[in-house]
Amino acid sequence: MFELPFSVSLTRGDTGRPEAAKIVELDRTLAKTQIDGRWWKIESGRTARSEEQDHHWQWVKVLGEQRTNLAYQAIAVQTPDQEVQGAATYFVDSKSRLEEGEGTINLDRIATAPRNRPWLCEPPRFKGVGYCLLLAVVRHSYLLGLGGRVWLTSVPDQKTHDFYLARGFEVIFEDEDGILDFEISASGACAWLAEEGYPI
Amino acid sequence: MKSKSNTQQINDDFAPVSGGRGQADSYRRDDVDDLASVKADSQLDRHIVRLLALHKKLRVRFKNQDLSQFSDDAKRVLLADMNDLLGIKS
Repeated sequence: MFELPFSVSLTRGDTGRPEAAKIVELDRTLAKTQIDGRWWKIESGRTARSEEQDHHWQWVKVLGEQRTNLAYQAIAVQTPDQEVQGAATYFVDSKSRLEEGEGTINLDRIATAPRNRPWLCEPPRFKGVGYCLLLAVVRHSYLLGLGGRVWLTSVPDQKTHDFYLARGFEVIFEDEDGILDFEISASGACAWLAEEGYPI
Repeated sequence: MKSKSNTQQINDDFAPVSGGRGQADSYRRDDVDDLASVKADSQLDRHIVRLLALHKKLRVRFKNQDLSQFSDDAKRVLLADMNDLLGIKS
């Protein structure tokens, strides 16, 4: 079963060395103390901060709206100093748009902490946060019998798109602003999980 | 084929900020039991309840199970049966 917390490994941005972390359940207390009250206390300029898509997100409010919904899950990457390095929220009751008639997870939000974004903080404190979160969501989808399928909406950023495509995601929709929806099929997800050493 | 170091570089450089649009009702499955106000006392209960809600064939097979009457060991046996039925390896 998908049991939290579990261990993952990040890479330190300054030394390139591995750093142990955990995927944990993101509750409102953690969101309040380690995201809403912490993430945007960085030295980057106000303009740069305000241009970030998630600058206005209030994670406590987001979690509060879904707190009784078992179709909703929130997870975070937490380092031993208790800091949250990234977070994701998702719905487990979504329709696959790639494989008709199948269920999938809809990754509602995913964000690395601003301190881990190289375009805001150089060097970023940790690398690999987004990878750990996305892999955890794909793994959860597999353990729920959804084949590992996950779909998400991505802003028009070439590096991010390249990552999704390299991991086996496929474009399922593009809007007039170039914002893309991606989904990973069951075969793509299982190939990724097998590559990571999970039993498939 | 990519080398391991190149793959690691791509993985490490992935710093996503995506979403926040909410899930449209049209993307929500209509064959799933309502999970909007279901309580579960533990992670194990939550996982089993989600499986039952998401898979009709589990509801048919295990419809009369009352988790509150089960020990954790019994729940784990139930979960193993469900995983077998769905072909999930854990």
